[in-house]
Amino acid sequence: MTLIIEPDYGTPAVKADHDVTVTIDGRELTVPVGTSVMRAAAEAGIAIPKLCATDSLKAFGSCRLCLVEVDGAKGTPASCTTPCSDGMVVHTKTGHVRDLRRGVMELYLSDHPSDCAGCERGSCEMQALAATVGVAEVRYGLDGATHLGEVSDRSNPYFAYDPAACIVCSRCVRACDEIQGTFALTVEGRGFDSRITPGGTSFLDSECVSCGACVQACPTDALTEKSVIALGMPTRSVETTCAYCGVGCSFKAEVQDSPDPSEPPTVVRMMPLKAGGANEGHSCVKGRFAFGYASHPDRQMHPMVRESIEDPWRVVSWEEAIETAARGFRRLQEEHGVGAIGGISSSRCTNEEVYVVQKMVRAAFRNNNIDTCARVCHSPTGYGLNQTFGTSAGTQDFASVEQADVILLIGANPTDAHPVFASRMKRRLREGAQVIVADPRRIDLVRSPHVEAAFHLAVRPGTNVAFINAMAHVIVSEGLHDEAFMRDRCEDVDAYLAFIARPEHSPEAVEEITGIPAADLRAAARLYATVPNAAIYYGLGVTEHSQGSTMVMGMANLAMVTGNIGREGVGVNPLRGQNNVQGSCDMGSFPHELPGYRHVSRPEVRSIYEKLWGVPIQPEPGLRIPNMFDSALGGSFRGLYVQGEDIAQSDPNTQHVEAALRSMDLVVVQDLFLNETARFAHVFLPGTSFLEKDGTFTNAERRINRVRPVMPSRVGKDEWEVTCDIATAMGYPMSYASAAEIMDEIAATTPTFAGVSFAGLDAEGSMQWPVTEAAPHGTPTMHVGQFVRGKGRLMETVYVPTTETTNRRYPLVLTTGRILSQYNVGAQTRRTDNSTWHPEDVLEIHPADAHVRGISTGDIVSLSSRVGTTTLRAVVSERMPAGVVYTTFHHPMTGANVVTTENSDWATNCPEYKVTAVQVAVANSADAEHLGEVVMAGGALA
Amino acid sequence: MSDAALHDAVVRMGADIARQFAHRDHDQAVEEVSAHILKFWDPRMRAELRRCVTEGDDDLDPILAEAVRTWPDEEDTQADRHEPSGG
Repeated sequence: MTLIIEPDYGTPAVKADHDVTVTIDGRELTVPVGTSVMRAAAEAGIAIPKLCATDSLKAFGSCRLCLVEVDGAKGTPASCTTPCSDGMVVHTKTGHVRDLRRGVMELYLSDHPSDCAGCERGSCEMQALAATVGVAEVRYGLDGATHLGEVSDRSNPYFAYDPAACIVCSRCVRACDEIQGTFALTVEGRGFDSRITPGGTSFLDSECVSCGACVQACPTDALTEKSVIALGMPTRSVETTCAYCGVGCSFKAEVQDSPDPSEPPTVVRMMPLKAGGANEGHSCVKGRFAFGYASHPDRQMHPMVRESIEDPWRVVSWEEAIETAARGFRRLQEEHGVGAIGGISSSRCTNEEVYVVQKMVRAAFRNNNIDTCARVCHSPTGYGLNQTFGTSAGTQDFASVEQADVILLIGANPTDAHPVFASRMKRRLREGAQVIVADPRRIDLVRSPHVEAAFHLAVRPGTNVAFINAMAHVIVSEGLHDEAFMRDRCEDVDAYLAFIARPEHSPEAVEEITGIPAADLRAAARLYATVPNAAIYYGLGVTEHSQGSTMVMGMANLAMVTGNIGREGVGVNPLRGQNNVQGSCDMGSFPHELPGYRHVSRPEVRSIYEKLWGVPIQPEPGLRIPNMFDSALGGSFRGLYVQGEDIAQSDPNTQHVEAALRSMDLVVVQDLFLNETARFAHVFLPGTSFLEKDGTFTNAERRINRVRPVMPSRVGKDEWEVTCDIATAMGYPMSYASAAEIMDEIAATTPTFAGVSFAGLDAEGSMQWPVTEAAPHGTPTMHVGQFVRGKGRLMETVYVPTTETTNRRYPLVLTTGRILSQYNVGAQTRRTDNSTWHPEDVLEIHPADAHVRGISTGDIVSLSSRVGTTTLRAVVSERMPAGVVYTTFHHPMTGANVVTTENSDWATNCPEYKVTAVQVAVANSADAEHLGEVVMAGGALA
Repeated sequence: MSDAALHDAVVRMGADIARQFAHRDHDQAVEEVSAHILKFWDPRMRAELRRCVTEGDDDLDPILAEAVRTWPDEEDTQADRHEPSGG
């Protein structure tokens, strides 16, 4: 296998309703109207030299290398900015244009290092292009004024900027503007003094978000990955999928193989794949650069066991570790019953790995005590969308947002948590779509360069349902609803209309509850209801509430009331937190559902698996994660297998979680690192990084992407193989020849995956489920014509306030979230240079709340709730509304979840991370010395 | 080992569910609460809830308690679990 070089057609593809025919270098070509001459030529295999053009950016026409001659036209137009027209005759290789190109190229080379390291290694196009256009020598020499002595900016941990190699083609500036939408770069100065600058400061101190788009766009060595500078160019690529957020970006892992075949290859860089359905060639700082954790020294490479959690770990063979786990689980079942053990699958693992874990639990453990970390993030999405639409998934593909006229963004912060989708969203906003942001915090999409929200509805944490009902109330009471759609496509219409019309749902009635001015809410509702296409996107600010499921149903109601479902540009779209949240849910990781969201009580579904697996499937739901903890403390749950999830850090009320883990007789952790949960483990099984996995991830748009091994497992076994070994050692033989064979079993037993196979995915690139006989290439948009459940169900979404209330002792509300550079509990990103930007979790607090407490930015403060106290650094910020404070949970030392409570969504037990009553105070000097130490209720230090 | 954690959890979770349906007609609320718990809860949690009702736990939400009383003695049937309100 070699390096994958995706073709660059110079200018973007054009979608048009009719074609034109041109003749280029004697060849007659038919292309969509609006296609540039450069692209038409490139598509026909006629290469025109270029420097400032690339097909991810609009044509710019500055480098003057792509000049052509056109019959009947004056001069030599730039082929990148010249659209094809019917009958046009173009010549790209005349002597005249060759001479012009040589002259231009000579001028570029007169200010380019003759010993350019990038040209030598292949990361700079200049020398190669000079050869292409026929420049053998530079008549002007390098004696005149040049930029060759200018100092490099190496402040960014991942890439360097060398102005000496810069030709000021503006590709980096345009990439930052057009692709990323951050506008961090500019051209400063005029004429010879023109230089690229990140706003007059260093890259590290600038607005740059390190997405890598500028580095990718740069045709020279001016912007280059430091890994390329250090290691040289990669020699081989493997197409795979990012293992960070639920956007699921496709990448080329570019590597250098070791001369020693027993050594793993070195990953030089991760390059976003232009053909990637989710990202279309874009990336963020995590996926593009933060892959070093996979080879971090902290990574555990060997199985380990210990008798008790007080003992030191002992490295053992795989056989001994697996036998220890299996023997322990068997013994616990013999002594305490079949239901005494269970497993937790990971949304960071592949569909195949997750499927095998739930199979082990159901077939080898013989119970349904299987749950997944989606429990603590998007389980209300599963419940709410299933109740209303009939299936537990987002309704659109990401590209759908390009057709949206209004985006209603609720409880999500895409620029930090789903940055590549945020860039797509911002592009649409720059085209004229409007965004309504409903979030207590003033996120970047409220106001940032070239983005201004039509409304920022700073909804008070815990009151989402009152807000969404008021939106629907306005629409219905003002006659803006789509009655025809409702009557045709939905059920319970009259009951819902009567419910939502009640005066208690009016914006005026809920203004005191939500904190949203009634006039703003009315105006926002009118905007949502009166544009051709309105789309809802949401995140954990919806789900992680005691009414999370009700809110999901409320949003589904809103889409149905306005007919905004079942076509492009509309819908209800969860932005999933982890790479495979969707997939782990699809694969039967919930204790009440078999793969494909089919309840365990359904005999016809159980029989599919009973026949295939040869064991009876329990018809009763098993334990959810929080109930596993409760039952552990009660003594009926004694053993747990945890795949790639750090429940001791990520789950709420750390004191409760740790007490439950400590009470268990056998905890088996499979992970890359000895995480917080491993402190309570008896068996540690080393896991594989995404670079070693063979399988699939399913992203937030139901897109099944291939994950391909860049290198063999560095721990000697694939994770699914380890799971099979445990099941086999427990007396239930499980084995597969490959991950592809696991997918074949999934397809054979799960209707929505019926047409999925590795071979099919390899051929198609990716597919969005359902993939069925009726939709063999997948389903980008769901609920077209009819809902999965037939009629959409309008639900009476009563607002029931949370029981987590503020009082004089705990007067503030804490809400939690994420930051761009870190990911989830930070196990991966903390072990990369991403910590440069976020070395610790901080507490954001409104100036008024800070003032009355005597708190300034940088102060160490104590954060106390009814269940615990922690200390962290304060940042006074007007992003926060008064009365609400905010922190992230990326660092275990801070222990944000020490203060979060066990309150949870009524239907799914998704924790209410977004609402915790707290007090904040300047820490006393003794506390300040222990920044990050956490105190549980009762005084114990953790 | 203490059963307090499981007891507190089922009482709290049950009350959360009951509050969601409290606006409904009484009989409908009881039916919804009963069906939801049967559909989603592990049998040991239901057993704990049943024990609370049998022992006359004062902490129990009245709708929740009534929902539990509607369960047959052997409620662990393998029938399709269906919530009246939807799923």
